[in-house]
Amino acid sequence: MGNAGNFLEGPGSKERERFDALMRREGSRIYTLSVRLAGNAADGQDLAAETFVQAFRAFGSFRGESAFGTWVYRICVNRWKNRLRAQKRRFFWSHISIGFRGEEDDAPPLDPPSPEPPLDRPLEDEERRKAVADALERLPPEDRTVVVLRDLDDRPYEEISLSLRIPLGTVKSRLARARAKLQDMLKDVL
Amino acid sequence: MTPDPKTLEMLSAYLDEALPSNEMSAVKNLLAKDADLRDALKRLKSLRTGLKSLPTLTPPESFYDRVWRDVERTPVRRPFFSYVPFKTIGALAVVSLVVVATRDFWRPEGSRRMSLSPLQMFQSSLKAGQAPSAAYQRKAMPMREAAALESEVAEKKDKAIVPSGPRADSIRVGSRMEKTSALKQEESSKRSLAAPAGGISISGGLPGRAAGFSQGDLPIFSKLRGGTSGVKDFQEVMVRTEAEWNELWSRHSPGRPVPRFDFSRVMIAGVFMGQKPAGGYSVEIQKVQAEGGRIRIIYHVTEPASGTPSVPGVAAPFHIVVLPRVEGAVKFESK
Repeated sequence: MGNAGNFLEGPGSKERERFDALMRREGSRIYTLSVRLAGNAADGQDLAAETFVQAFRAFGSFRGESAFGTWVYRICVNRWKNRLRAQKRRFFWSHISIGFRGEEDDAPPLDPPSPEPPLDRPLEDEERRKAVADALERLPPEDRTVVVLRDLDDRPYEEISLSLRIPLGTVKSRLARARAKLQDMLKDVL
Repeated sequence: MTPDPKTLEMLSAYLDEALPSNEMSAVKNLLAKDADLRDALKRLKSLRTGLKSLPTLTPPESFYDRVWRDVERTPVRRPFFSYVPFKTIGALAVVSLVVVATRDFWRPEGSRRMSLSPLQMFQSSLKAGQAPSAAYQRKAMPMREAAALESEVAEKKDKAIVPSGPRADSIRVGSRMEKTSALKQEESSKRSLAAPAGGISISGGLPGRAAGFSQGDLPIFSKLRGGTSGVKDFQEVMVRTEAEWNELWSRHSPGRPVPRFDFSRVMIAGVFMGQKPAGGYSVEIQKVQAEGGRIRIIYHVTEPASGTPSVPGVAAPFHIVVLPRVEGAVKFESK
């Protein structure tokens, strides 16, 4: 349990222990969701940690009407949605401020596509998975979000529409567009 | 071959079984006929398999420690002003500034006006040792216009008994032309206001203070001229108080609403010719001058030339002018 044990002592320790157990049960799922949504491990870890911190602070008001996993999942998606909105705002202001520098100047260069493997050797599963993860990371955040929620987490269209507050038709078209982009990026891999 | 975006969207929804049943069967029929479509669906399925093959990630133990450390940390309370959208407010302020700065540009020519308040303009003119600026006077227009229009309406109602004939045009109060000429005269007289201080003072605006006034013509703010006054005798009057004005107006136009003026700023001069047995008479105040602490009101009387046929009817021509309030003795001169 590492150093977490220190934090589980003192006043409210029962509640902390209970939360810690639930967090560890849902940890992998939320951590994976966060990393996939964010597109990289560092941002994903931040998102997952923020999700659990927020969940703990609201744990007193959690009535258990839904499963703990579903509740934390919603918190995670909401936090991600808010991040996207904040990013959009920053993007807007950075583009109308004086001394405009285009995205091309600011953004780190994209990872070059993985070098093609020798023709005499089929792609190993591990390499294929890495190529898929890289392609997912290169998708625009909004497209990536619908792909993660639908293809990785099997969320129905209606739930995605409600979580992201976008119309059902937008979910369909955005998903189709994102899949087309992924196909294009992975045409030599899949 | 890659299908078009619409077909791809349909295939994508078909893959997720998110189409209504009739569309599902329609796509199924299409797939049975079209090999390219089947190939596209196969690629989509392959992509989904690839995505599903991504492993579930296990957070390191340090992750849970970090969560608890973050929980322990007192949440940083954002200062109240951090919620203020400074950039948005700044942008709105810039837009407002541009709108305010260019509003005269967008306004129709006739309705443009200065953005300073009357008090500010009056104060600035006092500081500069000048008479109130033309812009300040323009600010007072609505009140004068209201009074002039009110009188004009009353005049038009009396028009039936104004004698017709060669002089009728000069006697009649023509609303538009009368107003235009009054404004022109006002504009020309305002130009004289900026001259250095002289012997007569103009008061008003700020109690207890007075601005120097030039020697020369006083501006005529507004005027009312016609042929049917209720004042039956010849009179030259200078009105400086509301009571005097009410009394004069009740004789000039009994029963009609009294136009209101701010007598701390203005005074009113009038010449009434009295009742005349026929048309063809008129009176006009041509100039008002301030000279050496006195005010000269120069007016001109027109009478029908001898030998011309008399115009039937009864008339009582008059001319009333509104002037800036000036202290000093008044002298009327007929020319």
